[in-house]
Amino acid sequence: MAQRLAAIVDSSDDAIISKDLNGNIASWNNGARRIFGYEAEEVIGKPVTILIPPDRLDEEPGILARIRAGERIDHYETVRQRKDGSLVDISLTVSPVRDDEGRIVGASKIARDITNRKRMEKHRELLMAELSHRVKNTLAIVISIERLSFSGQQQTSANRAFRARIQALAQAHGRLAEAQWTGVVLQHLVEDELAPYQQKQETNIGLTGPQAVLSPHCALNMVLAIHELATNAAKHGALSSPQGQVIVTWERKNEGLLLEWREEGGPAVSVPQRRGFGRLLLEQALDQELGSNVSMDFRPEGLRCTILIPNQELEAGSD
Amino acid sequence: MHHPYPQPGTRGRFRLIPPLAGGLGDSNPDDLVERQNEQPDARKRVLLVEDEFLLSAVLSADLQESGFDVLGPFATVAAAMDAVQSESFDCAILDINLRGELVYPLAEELARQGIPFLFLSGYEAINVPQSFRGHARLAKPADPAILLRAVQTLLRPRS
Repeated sequence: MAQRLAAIVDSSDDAIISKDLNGNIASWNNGARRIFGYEAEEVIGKPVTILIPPDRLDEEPGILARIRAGERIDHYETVRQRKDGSLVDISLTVSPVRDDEGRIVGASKIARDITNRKRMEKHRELLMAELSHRVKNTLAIVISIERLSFSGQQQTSANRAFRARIQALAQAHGRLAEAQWTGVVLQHLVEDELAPYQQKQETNIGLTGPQAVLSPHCALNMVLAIHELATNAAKHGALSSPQGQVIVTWERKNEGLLLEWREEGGPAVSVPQRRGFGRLLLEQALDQELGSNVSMDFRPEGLRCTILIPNQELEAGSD
Repeated sequence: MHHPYPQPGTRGRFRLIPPLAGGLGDSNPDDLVERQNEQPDARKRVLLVEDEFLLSAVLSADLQESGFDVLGPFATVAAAMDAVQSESFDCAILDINLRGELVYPLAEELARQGIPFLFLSGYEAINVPQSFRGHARLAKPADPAILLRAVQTLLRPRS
């Protein structure tokens, strides 16, 4: 049995090392030889710190303390040093080793070489940075084309509105890139859109809600919706008057995340006659793209809009 | 023939770009920054490094409309570096990725000479090397009024 275990340990690609409670190496398998470049004879009895680069020496006392306390360290990603001085990315699992009486007498360390995985991750990051860079560059070109196409002509508010929408889309792409395309924090998205209208005292805008991370697809749609609400508020609604307030709140419901946009203290509101881009987006696009249930309530005291974001558009990390 | 749009600067030959006739005509008087001194010798000169022609055309027009002279635009690090060695200017706007080539050597040279500059890029801070991460950077596409304000900030004497 012991022999069979030893054979298994020896044939592993992972470095499997045991050490005593003082941190001296007690056993060394073939995987360790391959990853770190030392023969067993060279390292047995030596402190395990010979594998630790100088700038990470402070990791070992912490690891030993946790082992002495009977804890296990799982898949800890760090860097170790080979015999030739080069560095290797590893994932480390350390567990206490007990004697027959259950006393902790040392630790077993399993180190997996994750160089390839790290390289792939870097490559992926690079590709995503390139993608995002291209998207934003292209959106910038779209704006340039629009400006050059209409140069010399009287600019309408529609021209400006168009550019601002593209800008909002680009900004959301920036947020996505920052988060490696995992999603966008709803609060950031709303803040970005309302930032231009924030008064110095910061009383005209209120945002409250739990942490919510929107899927990339949802974020790119929601940013346009929030943009329309914000520009509408600035033009006709609460943000067009110094006393006005926009209060955005969101909360978790069973069916998803319910966001409420509420305006107060602005000029009296009446139901707009025209259905422009903003209402098309809010009332139709969100429903079709996200399955969001949107209601727009043009109350005289201020617009109230609720948007239900379905659960499948929320990412991990949401409360 | 009068060319409607500014031409990119070419290596070893620098010229000032004639402003678009009447500018792009879409600057909103509300968000336009105050004009620079219109005295020709007091006009500040901005080095523009941007490889995307359409972007550089609009940027040049906006800068000129606000009273700046534009040196460039240059589409490569080498061409811009030549200009840095032979021309004088007051500040610079640098795109980061110039057809795959990164602008950082030029940025280092400007930093060495103490010439203020800002990055204008689609890259996020996380994609910028540590040494330049804290440096002024505007995301593309930049709002013209914000860009012009940022350029004026660059030119403000540091106290």
